[in-house]
Amino acid sequence: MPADTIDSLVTVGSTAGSVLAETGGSEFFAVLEIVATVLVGAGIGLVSGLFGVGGGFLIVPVLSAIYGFRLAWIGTASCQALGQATTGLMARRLNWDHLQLPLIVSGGLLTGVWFGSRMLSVASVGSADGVTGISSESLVLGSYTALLSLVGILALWETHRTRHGRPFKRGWLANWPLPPYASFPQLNTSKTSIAVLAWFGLAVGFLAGLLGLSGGMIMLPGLIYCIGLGTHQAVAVTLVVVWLVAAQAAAIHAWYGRVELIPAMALLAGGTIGARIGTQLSERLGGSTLRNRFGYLLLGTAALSAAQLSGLIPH
Amino acid sequence: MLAVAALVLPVLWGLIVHLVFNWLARQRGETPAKDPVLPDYQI
Repeated sequence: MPADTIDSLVTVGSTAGSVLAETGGSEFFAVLEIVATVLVGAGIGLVSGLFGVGGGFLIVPVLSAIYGFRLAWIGTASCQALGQATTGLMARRLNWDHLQLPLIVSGGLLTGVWFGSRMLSVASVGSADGVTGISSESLVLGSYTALLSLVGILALWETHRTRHGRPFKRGWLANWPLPPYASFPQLNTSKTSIAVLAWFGLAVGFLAGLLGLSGGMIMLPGLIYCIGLGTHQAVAVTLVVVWLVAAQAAAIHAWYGRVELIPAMALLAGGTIGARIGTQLSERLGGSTLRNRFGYLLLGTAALSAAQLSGLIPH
Repeated sequence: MLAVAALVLPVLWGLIVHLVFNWLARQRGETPAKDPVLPDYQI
């Protein structure tokens, strides 16, 4: 390259740099960050439309991989889930029967979310003070790696068994003989343990509060395989549950100052476009293929979290 | 104590919700426990 061309490129570069510095380079990078977050939202929306889950489990690992880990990503993920669940509920006409089961589960859910958020705060303060040996970042990313690996392996195992004509037995948890009992028109059992439903909600709520999950990723397969709900009824119940969890988690995280509104709005804007494309793509794929791809996606996200945790991805 | 409360209170809440729904169903003249329907297992 000629010397005068290099000189002119250097001049242009330094002029652009000085303009950025004068006009506020940080603002330029803030705009870039918003555009990138919209694209992340579109990708997550695509997954959401493709697999029928909220996609909230992707937000914290992906945003952490791009911008570095921030506690605010957890509250932001809850806000994004709240927006998506609200849109989903408004588009669906729920009847009286859809509300009893999520309301029974909600006591455990709300308690679990409070405990999960509290544990995150204790870990955050403890690691800052040097009281606890584990940092909030290690706790969150470690939990993500373990949970995503577990659900991913289970999804792949389930599709493998279904393809070989040996599907999982469904509804085993709902049949536990633990009083008090309730009966639901959606379930084919005469009585279902209220205690089991409440503790199922407690476990889902705890993970949601700790990790910024909306709970759909655990709730949907849990309701289908453990409780024995039909897929369409499980989706309706999950939607109500996700809304309840996300509303409470967003409020608690906002209380602790762990929500960033601009990234949340950017994620929702991108997610709306991505979800529409994902839904159209989803119609071309079979249920078993979708669940199989979902398993690989979970394992990929688990690997991303593990790479961050082990320091392979700098942050 | 907190752990016990976390385990017991959600169950109590679930029981209250179930009783309220049963009571409301009776008020509307419906049978509280409907006949079970076979779930749709197709994804």
